Amino acid sequence: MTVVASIVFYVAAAIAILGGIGVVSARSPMYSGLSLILTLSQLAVLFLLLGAQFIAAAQILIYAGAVMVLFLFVIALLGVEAYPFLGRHLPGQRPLSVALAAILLAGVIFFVAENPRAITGAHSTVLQSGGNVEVFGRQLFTSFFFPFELTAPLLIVAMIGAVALSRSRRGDTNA
Amino acid sequence: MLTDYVPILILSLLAGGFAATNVIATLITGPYRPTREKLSPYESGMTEIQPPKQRFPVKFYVIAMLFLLFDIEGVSFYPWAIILKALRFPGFIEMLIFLAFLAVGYIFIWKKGALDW
Amino acid sequence: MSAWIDIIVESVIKSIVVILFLLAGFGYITLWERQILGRLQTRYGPIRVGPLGLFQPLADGLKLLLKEQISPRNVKLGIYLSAPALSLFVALMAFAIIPVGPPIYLFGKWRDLALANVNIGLLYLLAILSLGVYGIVLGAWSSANRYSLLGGLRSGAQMISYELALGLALLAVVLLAGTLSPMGIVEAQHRPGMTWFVFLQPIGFFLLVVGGFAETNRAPFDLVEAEQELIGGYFTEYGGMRWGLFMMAEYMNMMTVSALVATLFLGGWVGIGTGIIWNVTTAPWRQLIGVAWFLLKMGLFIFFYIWVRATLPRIRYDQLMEFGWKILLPLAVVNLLLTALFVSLS
Repeated sequence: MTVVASIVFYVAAAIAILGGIGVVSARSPMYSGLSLILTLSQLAVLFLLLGAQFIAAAQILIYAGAVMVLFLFVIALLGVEAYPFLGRHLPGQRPLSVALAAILLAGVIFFVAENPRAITGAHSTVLQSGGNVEVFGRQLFTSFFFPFELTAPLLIVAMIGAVALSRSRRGDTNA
Repeated sequence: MLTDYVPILILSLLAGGFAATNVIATLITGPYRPTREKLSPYESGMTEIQPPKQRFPVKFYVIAMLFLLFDIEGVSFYPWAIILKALRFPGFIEMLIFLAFLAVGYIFIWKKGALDW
Repeated sequence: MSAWIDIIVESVIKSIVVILFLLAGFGYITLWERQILGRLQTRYGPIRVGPLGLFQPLADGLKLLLKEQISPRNVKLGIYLSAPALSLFVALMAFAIIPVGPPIYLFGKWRDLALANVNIGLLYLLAILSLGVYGIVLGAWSSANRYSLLGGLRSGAQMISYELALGLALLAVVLLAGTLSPMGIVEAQHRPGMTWFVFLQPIGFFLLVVGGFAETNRAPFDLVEAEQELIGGYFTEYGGMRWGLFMMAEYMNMMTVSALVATLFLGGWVGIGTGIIWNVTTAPWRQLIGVAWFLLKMGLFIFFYIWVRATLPRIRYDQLMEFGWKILLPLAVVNLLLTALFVSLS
């Protein structure tokens, strides 16, 4: 079991990293977006290996099935390819991105050093109790009830944002 | 638990192989005698003037955005649906509050005409 | 170790059976559809190739393979070629969790008659279905043709809009059954005091039917193929077997939706002669009757698909979107709330 799991882990992790490299190195936004889908789908496999079945399914459903569809719509249908801003940078983009990536990596290393078992997932009560989605739900709707409810106002803000964006310049919805 | 997913892994390998084989087969079978006209994009018999790079209505972007929001809502309902029997009535109230918030947003986008075509 | 070999051999056999089943289903549903449509329009449909036209699908497949495959000048070839494969891949994966019969005792072990029996069952199915939009949008975009792009854009928006109602309809079923496992849902429909969910959840049934028709781009929601307005939608620039793969995916998705309806609302494999599933014997003929019942229910729903296509006119795009967002979505939420109220009080 563990042998197979580690093989799957290394394959999925390698594809995820390759996808990540593709995101930043592809010239065309479309290929960039497709690489991101690849990475996100492999993350779902990694979640699955940790025993987080619900998170794995939600990862596919929300990130691959909804967020990236939105990206794809923007890239494919608003004609991003036709605009000449490709290759332009924000001021100080490269050093800033290196610095941010370093901070992120340091955070991950610190987290793993603090509790090494976090990445194996073996300690989690959720995994041991087997009934994964049930346990997740019980936690979410009892202990973490308040944060969960807070996501509702967040979603409203996002809705308002979406509507406001579409009505920008000319004040109508058919822009 | 992970062994439950072995069949899915194997199916994905076989299905991927089958799909790829089919596409590769289309490259091999059949004659191939291209001409200039044959390779031009279909334009109802007209000559193509410009490639389709113009922008499309922002409507579609708004729909994708709203779908994303409602999809997140839908997914978070699944763990709730399984344990509602155990949560009993308070669980129903919890979701009612959540839905009440969303209803406000829904009525807002309806009133703003984002759902009109 | 031998347990591993057992699992792998079982999975490989089941995977091949699923793929062949979907493939044969695709071929014969196209034949069946053309014959039924023919009869409904007082003509015969294809009956000449072989007895009763039974060799027609083979002839069609051969013809598609032997056609000239053109890739128009401006296509992005990599994506253009992988889009139909992607559609087909997603369609093949979706069927994995559908149980076609009760567990069967073979070679010293109880085996599920579903490819995979996973904890998150329906969520897996929804996740896979939500990937279906990629083949269409990528195929449309890579074709570099405005009809393709507009068609792909429209059907992409249609699929995501109706996915919401579909997801909420499934949620109401999950509420009643208290599980995400399709097998568990079949069982739940036969507990004492319960009955087929089509009677307990008529609104949910309606939502799943409408959502399923829209997800598979079938009449009356087949705007993808609105020849009069959009030429051929996203597959305008596809021909031969490449176009055939898109069609294959569409018909396989129809089969998955029909199987889903049979499982969630029509009692799954349980019928006269199968007994209730928790006292099945080890005699395999009962399980086989169960499989026959399942195929019958699935076939009836596929017939319904075809019947609807012959009956209803295609609806307009603005009607389609407004119906999805302004009627179906609130209806699904109300249905969900009523079901939740009932479940939380019982």
